[in-house]
Amino acid sequence: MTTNPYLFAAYAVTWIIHIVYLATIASRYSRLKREIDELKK
Amino acid sequence: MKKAFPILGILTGLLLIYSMSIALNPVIRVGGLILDGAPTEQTMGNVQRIFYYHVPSAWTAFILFFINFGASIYYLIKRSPAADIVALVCAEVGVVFCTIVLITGPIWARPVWGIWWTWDMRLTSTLVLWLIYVSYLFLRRFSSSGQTPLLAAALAVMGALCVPFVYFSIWFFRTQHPQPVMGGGGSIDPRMLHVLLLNWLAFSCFAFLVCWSRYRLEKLQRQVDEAHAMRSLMDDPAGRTRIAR
Repeated sequence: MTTNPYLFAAYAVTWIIHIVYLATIASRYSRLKREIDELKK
Repeated sequence: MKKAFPILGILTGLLLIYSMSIALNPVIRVGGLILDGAPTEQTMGNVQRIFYYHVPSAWTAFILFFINFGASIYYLIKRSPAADIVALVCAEVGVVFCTIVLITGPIWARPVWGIWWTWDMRLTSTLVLWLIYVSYLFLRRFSSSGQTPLLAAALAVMGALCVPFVYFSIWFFRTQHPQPVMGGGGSIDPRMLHVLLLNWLAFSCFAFLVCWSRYRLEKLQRQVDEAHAMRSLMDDPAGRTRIAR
């Protein structure tokens, strides 16, 4: 299969968006964990 | 339940890898097996393979917006906090998928139509749909009124009315966008349809897992907010009296 820059861009953008969104969820989880730890003190 | 999440996560990951492989390759060789991938489209060539991400993303977004609609109606009737969380989560994940549709569409349009964007009915209505749900998320994020879930549910009901309009717009208006793959009179190679449905299944499983994870996060966030509120009431002597009453 010949490499098509548009095809590569579309697939890359899709996964970048998903990864960025998953990273925001993970960061919200860790922030919430810190809040819970503070509440427990 | 706690064990199910990582198992489903691994299965979804494998499904996503497999569906991407068959979307990108006409023939896949796994061990001694030769599996049929998606054939190359004659007119557009390999760029048509964007279709296997663009269309399933759109379908997944539509389904999530419909679940948001159902949960919002349920919230308006029963005032259930769980329904409110489901509505919020589905709108958020739906916006992520709709964003992908709005970005991959122009990337596909540029080599095929020669333009990135045209203000035709399908493209414009999809952009309007995206803007409605982005405003829904802004309302949820920045409004501190106690009526926010109610206002958001009303907005979600209005937004959901836009979904069938987006889907059927290519039937009622003359547009640059091709006819729908299913139910629109268009035809598709069975191997292409197989790859398309497999990618849709993979995206749906992925969306379900993300929604599940986001639901747990939102529920936990609300519990923490309640605990903060209780603590500030307990710290305040007037508040302690109010709780004692």
